[in-house]
Amino acid sequence: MKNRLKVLRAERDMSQADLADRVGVARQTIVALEAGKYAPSLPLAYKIARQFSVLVEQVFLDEPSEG
Amino acid sequence: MNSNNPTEKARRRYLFEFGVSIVFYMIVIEVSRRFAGDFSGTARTFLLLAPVAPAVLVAAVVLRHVRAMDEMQRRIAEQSLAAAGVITVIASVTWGLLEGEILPRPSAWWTLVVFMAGWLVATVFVRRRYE
Repeated sequence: MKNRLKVLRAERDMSQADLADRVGVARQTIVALEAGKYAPSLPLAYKIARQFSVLVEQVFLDEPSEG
Repeated sequence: MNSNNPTEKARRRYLFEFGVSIVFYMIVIEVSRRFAGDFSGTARTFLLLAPVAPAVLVAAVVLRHVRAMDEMQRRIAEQSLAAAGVITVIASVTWGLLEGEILPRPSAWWTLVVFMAGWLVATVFVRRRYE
């Protein structure tokens, strides 16, 4: 699943560790999410979207990730 | 580093609890081995089985940690544990078919060794899928 996590983080000058702390997951989980290696559960997807104050579909796109 | 990340807090708590429960297990197993020979009947059986209690504690600590992980880490742990179970079953069946014919009868402890080794190897491979 493609996502805009990296862009949204960069826009807010937020590190992977910051985002991990805010949503209560390990930094490795954020790394896997950004790389499209892991598709989050709905609760986690909503939690992440809330951190950026955007809709969940503005973070996660219904398209397969490359690789 | 004193992180406020709940998964990091859970990991630190797990390391402490796992360490304490392993030390407890080692003390009980030492007491069991040292004094079981001095008793007979039910008391001897009780002493020989005494290490099961701290072993259950170790298992409870591990399961508590798995529940405290975030969803991806938990998925990795569960998939690794399942793979370790499958490895142990296949190894047991394979060995069992040849046992007494061309292979010796090993100690039951080998089941634990195979499971733990399988868990370790499986964790490495499962983790790679998410990197």
